[in-house]
Amino acid sequence: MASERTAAAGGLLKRCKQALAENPVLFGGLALAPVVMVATTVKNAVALMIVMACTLVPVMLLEAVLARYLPMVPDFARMALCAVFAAAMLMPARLAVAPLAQNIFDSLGMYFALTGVSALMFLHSPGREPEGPRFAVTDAVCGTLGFALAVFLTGAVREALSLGTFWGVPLGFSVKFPAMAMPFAGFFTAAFWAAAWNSLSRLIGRMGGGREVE
Amino acid sequence: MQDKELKAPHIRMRESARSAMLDVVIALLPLYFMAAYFYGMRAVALGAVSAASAVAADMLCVLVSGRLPNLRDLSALVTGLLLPLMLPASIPYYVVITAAVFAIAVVKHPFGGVGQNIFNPAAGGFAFISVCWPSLVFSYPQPMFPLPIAGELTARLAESPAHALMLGAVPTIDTLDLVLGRFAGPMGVTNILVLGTCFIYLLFRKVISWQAPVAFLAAAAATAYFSPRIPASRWESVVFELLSGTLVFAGVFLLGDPVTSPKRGLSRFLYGALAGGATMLFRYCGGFEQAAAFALLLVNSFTLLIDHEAERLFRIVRRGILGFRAYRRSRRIVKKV
Repeated sequence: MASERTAAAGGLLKRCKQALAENPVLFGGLALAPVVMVATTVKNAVALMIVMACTLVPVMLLEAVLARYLPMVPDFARMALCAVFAAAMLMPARLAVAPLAQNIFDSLGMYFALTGVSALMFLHSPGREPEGPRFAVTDAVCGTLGFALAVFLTGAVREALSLGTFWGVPLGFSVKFPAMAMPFAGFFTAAFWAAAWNSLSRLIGRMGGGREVE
Repeated sequence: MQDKELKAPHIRMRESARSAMLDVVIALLPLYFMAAYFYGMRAVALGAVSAASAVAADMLCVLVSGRLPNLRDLSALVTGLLLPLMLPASIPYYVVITAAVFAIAVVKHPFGGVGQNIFNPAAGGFAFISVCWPSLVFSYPQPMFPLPIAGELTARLAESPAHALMLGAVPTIDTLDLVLGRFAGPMGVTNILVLGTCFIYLLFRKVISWQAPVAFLAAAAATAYFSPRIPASRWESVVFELLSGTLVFAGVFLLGDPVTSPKRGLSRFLYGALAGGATMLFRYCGGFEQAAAFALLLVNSFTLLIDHEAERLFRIVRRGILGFRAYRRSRRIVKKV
């Protein structure tokens, strides 16, 4: 019994490590549009994180529960239910995001809703196999953390370089690069972070003597 | 007789990537000389700072990728020297450094480095700083008033003829001044005579081919002739459109980049024509007066496609010609019979 629990905990930890090392945005290219288009400030990034957390975890849990306990529900109906549930979860997400800034929804635009729908893409991310509610929650939490890391790093760099601030607080930079707020800058900022993340993962893999993440 | 083992390659050409880059550097020197004549030693200082930044960024990127820098590679030096010539002499040094570093660290190395980059680094660097600081990039000092190398600039800045064209007005510049470059504009692109000499030199040295620049200028001229945007005669429209802005400079130095341009003759024609059309489209409908760099970046992404499709088109045309000749021969034989 104890050995089973240890094995399960080890499996969960390994899953977490893998999910963080193989960042869904920087490695898998999932939910790239919100990162590139609207992650131009840290506030926007935090708003996107909240939306993803509010939609991804409940949707993946629902999908796992349906797959485990209601297998008679056909695939298309399960997906439709998940989509409706994701849309419904945007309501609490909106309440959570509103206090961040007065015009936060103006800056997020349609990507507020799009991020919620992006959660559905995680259900079909490569290498993911549905293995029950517990692993689904682990995957969802790790996916959210991975997304949060990618969007935060991108938003922080773009805000610092384009506006010279962090969360609206001036950093004292004398030179600013307004072009960093544009979508093309979002692409190559995310690309540079992906390259850095790849190098870091390989380094950690080599140091730990474990499998190198390609 | 003693056998001697020699290592490949057994046929060596005098020309190499290094000699081609050296020829481009030599071709740029007269432009820097003219820029120094018009604006003082600040023009040379800008070139030196840009070149040093580009070379330093290049070395750093090569080291980060785990290789040793190749001191014989002059591509970064060429990029660094090209950039300031498209800018006003009053540009701050940090803008030039930003352009050079962006050109090397973002446009060149992430796409593979020397010989592998898809986009022209100088065009990419210019596009980035144009979007960041348009008021600095598109305001020009008057020529023949030397600027200080360092310190605050008190020169009066003006807009170039390209700006007047963008507003639909006819530039009030004498044609001779337009050809000699005696007007406010980017410091290396205004003197058409010197640019023409550089073009002939690079053609003679076989660094660039004639197809792409000729097609580029022809497409731009045709657009200006058939669809003038200023209330002047068609020929005046052609003269003003070709001689203002970075059009001729882009045709000579940016379009002929051996890495980012197509490899075949027909492809180069298509590439040049496409670039010329895109430049005029950006000029007519875009927000910036200097559009050649943006158009070039767009067309760079089609280089491989142009090479591939031009080859297919060439085969179709050749089959068509051969088929027509065979048909004519058969008709002659039938008539004889």
